[in-house]
Amino acid sequence: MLIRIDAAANTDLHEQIAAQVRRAISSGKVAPGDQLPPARELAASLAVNMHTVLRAYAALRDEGLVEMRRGRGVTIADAGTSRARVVELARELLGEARRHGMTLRELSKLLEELA
Amino acid sequence: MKSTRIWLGVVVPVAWVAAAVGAFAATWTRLPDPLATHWGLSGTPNGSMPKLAAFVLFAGATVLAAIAARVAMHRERGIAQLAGAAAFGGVLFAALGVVTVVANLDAPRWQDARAVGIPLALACCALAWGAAALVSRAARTLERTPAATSALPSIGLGPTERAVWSAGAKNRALFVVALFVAVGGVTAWASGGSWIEVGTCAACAVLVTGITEIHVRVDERALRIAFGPLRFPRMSIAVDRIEHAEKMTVAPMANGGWGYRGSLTAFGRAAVVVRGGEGLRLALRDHKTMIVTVDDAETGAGLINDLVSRRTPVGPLDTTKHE
Repeated sequence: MLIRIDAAANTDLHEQIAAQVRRAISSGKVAPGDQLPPARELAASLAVNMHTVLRAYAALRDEGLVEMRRGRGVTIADAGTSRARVVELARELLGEARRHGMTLRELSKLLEELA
Repeated sequence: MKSTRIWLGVVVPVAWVAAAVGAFAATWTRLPDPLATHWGLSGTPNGSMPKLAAFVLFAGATVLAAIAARVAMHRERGIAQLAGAAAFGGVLFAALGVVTVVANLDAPRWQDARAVGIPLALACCALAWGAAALVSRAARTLERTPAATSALPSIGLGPTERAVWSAGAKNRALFVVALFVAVGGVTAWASGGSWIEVGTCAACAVLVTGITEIHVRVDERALRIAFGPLRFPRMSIAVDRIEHAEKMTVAPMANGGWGYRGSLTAFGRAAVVVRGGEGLRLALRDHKTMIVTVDDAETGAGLINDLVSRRTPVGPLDTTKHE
């Protein structure tokens, strides 16, 4: 799994890290049950604050892509691979909608109608 | 160059053949027939072989090793590996031949041969290992280093970018092997086996478990390898020490089997082989070579090459602390 971040980019570092991990999960580079590098280790490797990495991991956990358990570290959730793709598309959709001035309410209404 | 080839391809091999053949020739009439050729753990002889067969075995093995050493000198690549392996075999058989002759000297029957214990056998191995290290080190100067190809892998890392790559390699079959060895150890212990048997099984099981999986990580500073499920022991190679990296296909048998093979210090070449297939080949700046079997090696090689071409680390990215 390759995680690359760019200090010069507009996106926050924790979002960049989360996006990279999400990409790795959806593309199958990491499989359910695989461990993510410990936050401390990843932070040292990328020379970022450990809380930046923890924030990225917490976001991934909230999206249901990874599981955080004491003593077992951070592992890819069972449904992670398929879910990561959906989360990626949802984020893309949300970004696109915002760019066109669409509110969240309008977007969810649209989705409800489609379903 | 020329003199190195003569030393490694002629003088040294002739010396080990002469040691084995000479030992038999000089003492032929003073040796029993058959000859004690195998000793038990306690050091007493427990196996024999007709005198002529033993002579043919030791002479043949050392001559074969000498031929291999000669062949190595005609190569362009892999000289050090083959010459080192030849020296190991040649010196080991020469030493064992001499030990066999000395142990049997003036014994009326093979059962009366002198004791040969484990320390002496280990000393023979150490001698052969030392010879192999010296020979392969000298032979490395003959290697024609392949010109760095222009098409080295890259991930196009920008100047403001930072990256870390982590991957691994697993071998389930080796895990089964480790399990079998462990079961063997427990059985030996339960049936009242000697501590040597139990200890050997335990040590082997631990060693094999250590190469059932590895975890590899590359960041700005180093390539790190953690062995086994416990991720211990670990080793690292600084990015500063790397010249370039490539993806390669690793054949375990061509690298001397599975496990940590070779030695960077002694042979200038080492390989961490967990399974066959995809791997990383690191050309180090001091003309040494490190091979690691790992998945997704193309990406890893790309990152290493980008880091090598940069080689000047920048300061920390975020200095602000999140709550």
